[in-house]
Amino acid sequence: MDNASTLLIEIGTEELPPKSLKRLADSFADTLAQKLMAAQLIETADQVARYAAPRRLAVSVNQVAQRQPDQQLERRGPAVKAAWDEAGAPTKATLGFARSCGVEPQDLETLSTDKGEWLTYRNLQPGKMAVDLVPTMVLEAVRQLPIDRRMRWGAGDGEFVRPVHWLVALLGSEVVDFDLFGIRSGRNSRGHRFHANHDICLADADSYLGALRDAHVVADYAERQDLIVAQAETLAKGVGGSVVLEPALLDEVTSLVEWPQAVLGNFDDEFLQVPAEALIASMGDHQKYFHLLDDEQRLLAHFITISNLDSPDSSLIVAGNQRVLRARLADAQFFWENDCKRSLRQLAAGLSAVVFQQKLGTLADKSERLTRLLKVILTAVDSELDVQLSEDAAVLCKADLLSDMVGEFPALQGMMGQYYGRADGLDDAVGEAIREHYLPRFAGDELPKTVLGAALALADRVDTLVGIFAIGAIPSGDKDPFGLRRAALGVLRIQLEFGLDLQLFPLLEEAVAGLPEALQDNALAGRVNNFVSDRYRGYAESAGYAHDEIEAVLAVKPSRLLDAQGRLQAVQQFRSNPAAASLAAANKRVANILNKSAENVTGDVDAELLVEPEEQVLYQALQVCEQAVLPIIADRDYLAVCQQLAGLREVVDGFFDAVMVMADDKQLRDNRLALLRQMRELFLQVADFSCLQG
Amino acid sequence: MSLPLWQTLPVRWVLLDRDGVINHDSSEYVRSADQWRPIDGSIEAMARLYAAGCKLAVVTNQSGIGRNYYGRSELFAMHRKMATLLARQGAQVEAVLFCPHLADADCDCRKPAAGMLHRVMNCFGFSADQAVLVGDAERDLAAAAEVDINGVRVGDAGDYPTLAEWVDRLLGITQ
Repeated sequence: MDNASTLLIEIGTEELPPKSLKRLADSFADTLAQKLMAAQLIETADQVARYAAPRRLAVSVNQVAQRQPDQQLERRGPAVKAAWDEAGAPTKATLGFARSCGVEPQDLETLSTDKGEWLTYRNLQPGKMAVDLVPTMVLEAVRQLPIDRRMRWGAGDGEFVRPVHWLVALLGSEVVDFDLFGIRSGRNSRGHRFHANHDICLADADSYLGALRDAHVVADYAERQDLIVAQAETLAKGVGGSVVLEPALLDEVTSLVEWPQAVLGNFDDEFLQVPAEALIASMGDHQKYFHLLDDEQRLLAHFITISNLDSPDSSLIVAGNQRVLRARLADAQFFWENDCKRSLRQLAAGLSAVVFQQKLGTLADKSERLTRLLKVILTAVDSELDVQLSEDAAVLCKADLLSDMVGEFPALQGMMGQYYGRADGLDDAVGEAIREHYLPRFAGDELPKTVLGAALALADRVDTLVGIFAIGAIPSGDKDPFGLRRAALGVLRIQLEFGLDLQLFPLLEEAVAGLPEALQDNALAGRVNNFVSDRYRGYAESAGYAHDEIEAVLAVKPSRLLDAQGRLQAVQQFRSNPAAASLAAANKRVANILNKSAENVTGDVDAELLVEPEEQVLYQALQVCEQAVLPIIADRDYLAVCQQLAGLREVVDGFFDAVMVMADDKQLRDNRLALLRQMRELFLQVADFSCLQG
Repeated sequence: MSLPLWQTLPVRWVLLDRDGVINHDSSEYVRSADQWRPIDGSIEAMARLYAAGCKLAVVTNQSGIGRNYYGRSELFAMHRKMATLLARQGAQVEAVLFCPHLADADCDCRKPAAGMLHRVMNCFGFSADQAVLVGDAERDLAAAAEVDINGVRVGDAGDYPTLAEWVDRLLGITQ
């Protein structure tokens, strides 16, 4: 296109919130792309490049048409037959249509199709100029930005995420003239806050990136991030380590600098006595520093910070950062040493003063309930763990919440408990369980690896679920202040993925029995169980199981989740068996017949009353199948069971083709119903196949 | 590695007479599961057929029921015993069909009539050229001929002394 040029929009602001910079840039670019495409000024969203730096959001769009294509308008009116009356005058319909198009009836054209002739209005609307369309689009895209809290500044009444100071809008080399928050658009951008804090005049839109680079700004977010990664990795290699670039921290740092310069600093070796997690939290959370590990994943006494400056003397920057970090690490060291003066048991004594939830008592009460539940769980899974270990784990698991370190860095809960337990000389299994009982912390997080940890994690979640349900704070809509959905998902994953194989319902009943008496309620365990089952539906669906497969399994109310999962896998596999559809249909048919039959089908099949060959064959096949199936049911080899059941297809079909179930003779009829009930019960050993759709 | 039987031969179904082929017959009739004793090697032979990809069905005259010597329950108990023995070898029969009628009942199922063969072919959807019937009596072969199924006679008067030998021959285990 000859008449196409690059469009540049840059909104210059004060420093944007680093944690939402990327989201803002994406939203701005996506909305604008969508609007430009809708107006036919560009062809694809690929033409839109997005830029984001601490003080600017920008898009550059190549090949933007100067003018929209002309819009051919065609409207169809009444049929020609109904357009003119006998006298040849326009009918009411014609007059109305012509008026709505703003023309006289005789100016309307006639459109002939194979279905007849219609009056038509055709009009060529000339396309509008891009410079006229762009301002509205930009204002609209700005209005749609996902901003949690808007600010007002100066005397104007504009509201934005941060005060806006300049606005660049260029189409090719021409300024697109409009106002945003009282700022007039122009061609002046600004350079780096310290290196080039002055106007940068852009000759045209295409010169944007280069001009900014000359002014010490890397406007491209991805490019800046790549620079940071490359620089950090080079520095780390220089000291024989590797740098840990945790994605959230990396994004945050990328959003904080316009001109990244990675700098390596050191700290005193003596700090390495403090648990690495605490040092890493000090460096990452507070200072936005990256930490380094050696080949064996041990923390090195170095850090990497990304400065926003080209300094002729980087040793000044290094010294400054080291001084700040030293103070931080000294704090962490103080917390550590201070916490170590008290044993976990001493800390735990303070739990009776910390309220977990008003009606549910203190953390000490919770620990007591956990002790009880943990015992039940370990018994249920036939664990041979020392009772003393499990009691220690339950009583001490919340103790580190009272340590100074966790007070400063809440994310270290559990981890510090493990360290303090080790310092107290507790068994490693206890410390491991204290750390692991917080897992999984979020969807997709790692799971406990030890049985004690998994059991304690399960106990904690079950206690929270049952307790919070008891006080009526049940999640609704998007309100889930106690994170019960997450807790339920944890309950599922610990059973299914860790493999803690137990019956959930009795455990929930135990948990109810441990609540304060005023909160106990007969229906409570059932309600929590349903809540967890609902989460299981979602869990299984996202794992690729179909809705009807899940319902077929839940219909037989498996008492163990692992067992349910085994059935579900088998049912899904069974589906691909050619026999599945016909057996599902047969089950549906049998379920209907049994539901409708007035007689209560309770008796056993009387073999002497089987007169038709097809019912004899079915009866014998069922007997053989039962014999084959019952031992493998006990082993929960549901796949093998399904294969056996699939073998019944022909005899079941043969039965329905040849045998009249609702025979006139009551004896024969009852006997056939009994035969069908026997068949249905055999299938129900795995799942309710009548739930399967087509 | 030889091909499975059903790929080298058209035979996918082996229909078996019961008394005198799978188990020892008795002039007093076989009346209970205890009395039902397999002929040496017959269960293993059926298992070999099954392992080679053949499906098995039993078609048997049981006029003992019509004579009230024993009931269907006893008959099913015998077949459970057979199924259990087969299951130990990893095999199974797809169906057991029997005719309970007396010779003079004029039914369509008692061999040499072919009613049971029709039924099993309909139920499992195979054709005559995919099947072979093994029996020990002339009426078994007559029933087979009625529906154009190849018949094999085993026993003292037959082409092979036992089911096992015919199976060995079919599968090429011995000359």
